[in-house]
Amino acid sequence: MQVIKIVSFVFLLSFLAGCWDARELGDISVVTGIAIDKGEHQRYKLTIEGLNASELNAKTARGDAPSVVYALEGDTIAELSQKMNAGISRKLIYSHVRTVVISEELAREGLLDFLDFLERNREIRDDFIFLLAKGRADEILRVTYPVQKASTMKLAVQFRMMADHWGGDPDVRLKDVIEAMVSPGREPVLTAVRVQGEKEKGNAVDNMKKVTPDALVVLDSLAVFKKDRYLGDLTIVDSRNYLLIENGIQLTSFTVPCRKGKDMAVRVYNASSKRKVKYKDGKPHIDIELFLESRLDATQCADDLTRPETYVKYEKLVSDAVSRDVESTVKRVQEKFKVDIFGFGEDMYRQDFEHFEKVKDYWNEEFTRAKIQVNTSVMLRRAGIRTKSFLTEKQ
Amino acid sequence: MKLQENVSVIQLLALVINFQIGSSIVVGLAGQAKQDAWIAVLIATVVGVGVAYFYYKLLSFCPGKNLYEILEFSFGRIIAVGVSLLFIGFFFYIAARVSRDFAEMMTSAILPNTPIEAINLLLMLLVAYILYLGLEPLARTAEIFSPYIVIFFGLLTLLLWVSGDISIRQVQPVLAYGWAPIAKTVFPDLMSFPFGELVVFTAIMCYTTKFRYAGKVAMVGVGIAGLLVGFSTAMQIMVLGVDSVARSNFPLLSAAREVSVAQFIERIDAFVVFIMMLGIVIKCSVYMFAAFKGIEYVFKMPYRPFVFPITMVISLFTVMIAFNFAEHIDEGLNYTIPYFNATMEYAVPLILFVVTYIKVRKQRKKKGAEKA
Amino acid sequence: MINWIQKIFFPSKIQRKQSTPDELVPEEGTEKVLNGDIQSIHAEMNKAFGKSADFKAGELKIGGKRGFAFYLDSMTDSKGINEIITKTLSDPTAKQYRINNEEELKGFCREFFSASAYQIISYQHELVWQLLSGSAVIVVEGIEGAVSIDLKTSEHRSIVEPSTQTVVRGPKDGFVESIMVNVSLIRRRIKNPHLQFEAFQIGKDTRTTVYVAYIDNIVNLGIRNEVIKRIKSIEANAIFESGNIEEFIADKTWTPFPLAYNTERPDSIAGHLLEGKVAILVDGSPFVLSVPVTIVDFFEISEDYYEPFMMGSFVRFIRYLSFLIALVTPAFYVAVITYHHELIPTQLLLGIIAQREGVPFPALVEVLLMEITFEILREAGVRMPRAVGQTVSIVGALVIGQAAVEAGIVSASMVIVVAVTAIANFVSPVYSFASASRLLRFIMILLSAGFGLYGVLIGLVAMVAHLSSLRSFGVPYLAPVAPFVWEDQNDVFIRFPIWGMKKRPRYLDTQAPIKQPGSKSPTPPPEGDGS
Repeated sequence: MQVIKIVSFVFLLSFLAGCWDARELGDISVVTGIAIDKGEHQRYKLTIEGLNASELNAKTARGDAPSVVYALEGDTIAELSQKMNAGISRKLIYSHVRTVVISEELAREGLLDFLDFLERNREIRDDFIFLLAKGRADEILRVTYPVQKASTMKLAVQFRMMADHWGGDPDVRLKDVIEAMVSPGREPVLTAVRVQGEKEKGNAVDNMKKVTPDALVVLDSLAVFKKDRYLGDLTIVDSRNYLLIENGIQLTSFTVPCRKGKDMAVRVYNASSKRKVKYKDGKPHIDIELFLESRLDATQCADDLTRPETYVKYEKLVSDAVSRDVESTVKRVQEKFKVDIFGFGEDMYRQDFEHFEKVKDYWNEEFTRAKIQVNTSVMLRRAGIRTKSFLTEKQ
Repeated sequence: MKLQENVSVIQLLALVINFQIGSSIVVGLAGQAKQDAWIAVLIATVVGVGVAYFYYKLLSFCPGKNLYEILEFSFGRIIAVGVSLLFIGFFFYIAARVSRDFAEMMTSAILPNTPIEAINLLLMLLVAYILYLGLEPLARTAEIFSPYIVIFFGLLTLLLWVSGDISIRQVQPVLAYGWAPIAKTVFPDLMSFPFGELVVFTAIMCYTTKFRYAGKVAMVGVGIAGLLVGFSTAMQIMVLGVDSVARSNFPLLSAAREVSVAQFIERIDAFVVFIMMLGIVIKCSVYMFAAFKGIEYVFKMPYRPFVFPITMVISLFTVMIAFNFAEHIDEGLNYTIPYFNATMEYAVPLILFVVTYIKVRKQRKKKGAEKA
Repeated sequence: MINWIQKIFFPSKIQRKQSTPDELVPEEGTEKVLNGDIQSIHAEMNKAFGKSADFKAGELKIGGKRGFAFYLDSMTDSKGINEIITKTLSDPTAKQYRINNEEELKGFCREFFSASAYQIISYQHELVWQLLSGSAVIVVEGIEGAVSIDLKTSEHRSIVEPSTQTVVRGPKDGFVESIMVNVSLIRRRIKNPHLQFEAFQIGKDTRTTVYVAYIDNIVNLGIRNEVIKRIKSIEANAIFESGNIEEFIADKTWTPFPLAYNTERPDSIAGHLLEGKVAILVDGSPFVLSVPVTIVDFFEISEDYYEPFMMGSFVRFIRYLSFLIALVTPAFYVAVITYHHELIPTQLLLGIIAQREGVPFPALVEVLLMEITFEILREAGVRMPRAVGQTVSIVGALVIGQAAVEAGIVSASMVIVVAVTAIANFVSPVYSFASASRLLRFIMILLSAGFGLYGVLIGLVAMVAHLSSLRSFGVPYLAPVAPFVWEDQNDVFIRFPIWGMKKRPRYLDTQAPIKQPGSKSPTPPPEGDGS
């Protein structure tokens, strides 16, 4: 009998419980994008993109706006995120945030305290892409797109594809940013985006109806930070090279001159890097060893691709070019920004712990003085489904 | 109905493993040892195996008797009742702590608006039900769920690995700060939590069907559990990094949040809670059972009528032991472990061990003399 | 007046008062002896059965004396009556036979009724009992005792394929309502003299024949004795089905899980008997029980052993999975869509939200609505006259499937969930076990509505704890998983090849633990030797 009592008690309990955390699907709106700007009157301006689910479902779509973008100003993002019902009908859920955009202005002033909220919050997961907007951040959310419709949904897919297939996006997560901020041997980077075209027209369903949308969010550059302060930009080629050094890339392409005025393109399908940092003559020596496995995608030169010698020649060309390219990226960072975004300090922490302990407080200066050595070995495995180029025949 | 409830050797193993994993994977272990936390856990495991042997040895002086009966054997009933009450209090208190750990995690990470009382009450109702059914169902439940715990662990590791979150670099450099921080975490923290907690098994091990294997099994169990916990500690560091682990209240949960495979298997932390809940339920039930055995001894009547009311009181007590989470953790690290745990887990059993040893030897001598 | 009130409010009390002393089992010392006073016997029989149309009492001459033959027309074989009684008695040699005492009556029977089963009875209550069980009884004037000739009609359904537990490959015969046929179905499979069928009569009013079957050199005697003890102690007035027995002999009543296996398949029962279990056959029921049972048995069907072992193992895995699906899918769905949105991938979540747009009910109400509708349909499907079957299924499909979704009362995804659950529930080979998950499903749904996945997990752990506290005739219900028995794992999650199963389950603790000591894997001749 005791058993029945207990069971019925559980029943009653679950009825009485009132379901404190239950949220019916009809009452929620999924937020996929957050944009944070500097507020005009208060510290922050939070803009969210809440999806209109029925518009994103092929069966129920009627051609209305795919999402609702709404902004509020306040001193903490945390409070603002719960206050959004000031203008939005449904309870917002943040568990599916795909994109977080911060504005350039905010980053320059180092107002990144809100990262604590993003990290602490149980709902927000660390699987969103973290972007810096050139210009205002909320503009990024207000650009529709024909395929994914909602701006932030598009960005999430776009950057994943970019990172997977060419590597212009360093695929930085919140965790990486925070780790880089607290680590003495690394500084954070972010992907920067901007709106291309007419911003005002992006904010309408009509933008989706054009073959070339009036406004489009495009990948702009790699933003370099020192702790929480935004310093400046690197190009997206640098950002690819950054990934190459970070061992964070599988697929990419290089264009390498094969003769004067003629180029060839190589598709890299397997890349790895090894980094060694040691102290010699009171100066850090950074050795980067790259290994690339590739195939020839196109050539403008009339070389005989049936011969192994040509492969050897091309491999040499590619490896020289890549080494030069990568080295110049690191040098540019050393000269222009004087911060170690590559995490060579962390390598040193692992490889030469005692020495690093001594220099960790001024590692960025040490990095600036460091001697960079890049060795690339390239394997050109095959050359597509043709042997000689028709250009060879022509000659 | 059988009068004596028995636990098979495998069930004892399952109980020990679940018990040891219990709350130690909910709240992280050995934070002070930084990236060497896993080494600290492994070393503590070796010590823990020794501790398990110590408790077994204590019981093996008087086979078939549990902790309370041995207390009576050595000190007489009056002192035994006093010490038993201390043990009962200790067990109930730790049971409350264990369930608080879990309930805090639930309210922080899964059900933020649900009152902690409700979460606790549900958990305690389950514990009460299991205890009402008895030791055998408890052991069998542990037996059934143990493989799942291992499978879930394996799966979690696999998923983290597939989603590319595990980087061995995070645990490097190994032993950067030398052995000192490790030694500091092993003694006294890890020694009393979780390894010293095995003291509850002095009230349970004696019900093993083949008691002579109980010691070995407990040692193996502690070893396996230690390896699992060490592994989970290493994994947390490899996934989150040392700083992040240090900043996490529930590191394994945070690590599980990183899983993202093919944009589909994501956000599996609610499932990780499952592993944890099993461990917590078993651990809580084991503590409560040991305490109820004590009540049985003190009041000389079967414990079943006590189960429901006392469990409900403990459920309330769970909420009342601390006003907030920080206080709860602080209480554990700075008050419970150095004073309460050390006394009940080591000091009292050690005295008991010595006294019992002398008494048993005397008896044997007497017997030997009689025979001769 | 008081009586009248009593009648309304306490009908049971009155019934108890009115119950007559049992005619079939008179108390010790009050038995009436058949003393040869055929007139008074005739009168008494008329008093007892006279109002029944099928009661026949024919006067006849036997051995030169007057006698009476009593029988119940409905219970006896009229051809047999004709042949045995009329013919035999009119036989010239029989006419010359003279019966003067009991010995001569016996001699007469020995001579003329040799082929059929007869017995000499000496008490009046036995006479009544023999009539009721289908015998013709002859009493002779002045002679003590009576002859009872078994002329039971063997009216039974022909052996057809069982309607439950159908198999693709395997024997297609099923038990029928006649216990004798059922015994023969088992005996034909096990040609072993140790196979015993112990008979019991149970039920104060029904006197149902119950057989307890076991193989006496295999079965665990403790379990056998316990079964017999429990069967003997049944105090029921009526036993119509083995289900009635099941409730009387179960170890625990407060559980949704069946504590005895029931099947219509003779090969299953034969298999169980050979494993060392005890079967209980009930006259009038095509369902035969087998005890003790463990939860694993409910995931097995005889076909597992007829299919290749890989297939058998795979299908078994599917069954375990289906049980889990049937148990928790709706609860899981409710938990996920009301509590744990983060568990759903974004696109899927958007899809579900879009579908649920305009559904007026909370998820809990929606799922209960659908589940209860489904249960109603299912019950209707089982009970309705076959002729209207078409109608119900059309209405059901329309109501559940189309209209409800189109009207926006339920969402399409909910229909999918309920449908998957329903299908998964049908996978279970034993109907009574499937019912358990049907019932528990609602508890799970309520828990999930209150606490999300946490509630579901609590429910699952509680269920496992409950299962592990169950015993069937002393055997733990979860054996051989908990307590874990290594030797018995060859037939739990993976079915080993038949030659690999050398032992009987250890948890049954049989007298002969090894069933096929010499079995070994087939060894084909090495290649090239064949020709």
